[in-house]
Amino acid sequence: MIDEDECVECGECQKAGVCPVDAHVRPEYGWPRVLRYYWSDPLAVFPWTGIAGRGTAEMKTNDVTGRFTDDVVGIGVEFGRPGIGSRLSDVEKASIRLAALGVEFEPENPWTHLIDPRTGRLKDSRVRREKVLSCIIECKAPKEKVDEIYNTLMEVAGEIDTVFSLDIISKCKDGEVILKPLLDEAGIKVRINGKTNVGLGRPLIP
Amino acid sequence: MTHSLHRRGSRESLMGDWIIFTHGSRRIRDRSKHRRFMEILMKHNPVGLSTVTLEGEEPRRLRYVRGWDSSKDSGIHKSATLEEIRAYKDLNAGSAVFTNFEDVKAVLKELKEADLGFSVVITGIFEKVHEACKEAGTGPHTVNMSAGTFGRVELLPDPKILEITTMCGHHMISPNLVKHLIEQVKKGSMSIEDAAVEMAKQCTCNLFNVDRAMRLIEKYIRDTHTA
Repeated sequence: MIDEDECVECGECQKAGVCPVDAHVRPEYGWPRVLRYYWSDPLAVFPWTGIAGRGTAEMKTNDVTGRFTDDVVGIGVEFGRPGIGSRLSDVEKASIRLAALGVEFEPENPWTHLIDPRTGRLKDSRVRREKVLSCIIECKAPKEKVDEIYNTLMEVAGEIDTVFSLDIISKCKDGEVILKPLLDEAGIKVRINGKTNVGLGRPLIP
Repeated sequence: MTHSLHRRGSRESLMGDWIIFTHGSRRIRDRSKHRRFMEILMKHNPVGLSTVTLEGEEPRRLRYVRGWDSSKDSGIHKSATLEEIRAYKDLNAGSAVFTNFEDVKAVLKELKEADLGFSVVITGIFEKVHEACKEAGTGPHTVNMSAGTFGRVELLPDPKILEITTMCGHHMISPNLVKHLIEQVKKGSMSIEDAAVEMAKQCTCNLFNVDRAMRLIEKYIRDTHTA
């Protein structure tokens, strides 16, 4: 039996091809249940962004796009990750608090399409009950705000019924992470491993 | 998409876990540059590799995982050998997983020399990646750091299981599947390699490190046996 209320529509049971009688079928998704599929199946493409996956190119193409500059911190708040899943109502809690701090929500991110970016609130209240495997809020702010954003998110962590994993994006200069002194000063610890854009991208190469 | 972030483990374990990939490659229309990118990745002992070929009527995803052959295919999960991938003239710039830091340095050096124009991301221990950048005469340009996981962390599975499952950033590998496969290994009805390959198959982005998974499974069995 699949608990329809808990199922996030990742499709993994069907994709694995393990059912001997081929009992797993994808239903026709209506609104707002289709949001589960978009956010939970990595092969799904969001119709309003044309992007597969939960987020955007973020820092992966920053050497070409210049989306994150020296004076900016990029933030990704990955609700439900790793593997717990999240109701969109919990994502909204963080979204409202981040909007109040004046962050700039990433316009190409799927979550941003669902909210009023001035308030962080969902435009359609019917989607709050939907559960997804993971939903990312992507935003940026002046780098001096990193401490305030982090502390606000720590408050949100105590109000939610799931987990979130936190991403912090910074440009580098002369081989050093620009944000590091601010993180150290604020007592924000990061893992020893992560993603580095190594700066080989060249704009406008045919 | 932050699917290679938040991989967990000790420094020692993460020294065997590196990913190199490109993003936004569609802006580069010269297909020979795409193929060259993949040739460089294939040359330096990847344990996982993912690309797309435009040969044929429809684009076809090609997934290589060391130890995965067609006898272990199931559902949409289809394997490809490196030889099969090399046989395609057209390959899209994609991703690869490495276990040896020297290979990562060699790939980066060659990519820098080839000057193909792709945005390249390396996931792994920052200090070492930045060392490789310095040696190759490039970046680092921008980093994405993991500040950890917060909220109801008591819902998370055993940290030892998480070290395995977080190698699929979309978390397509269920902790219960991992436990089940480890039980099969313990009972002697499955090899460690087959268990790791079964896990890797579920990671459709193909960023799962099958070699590291084998070592983690081995350690898990050893530790639980001792306990």
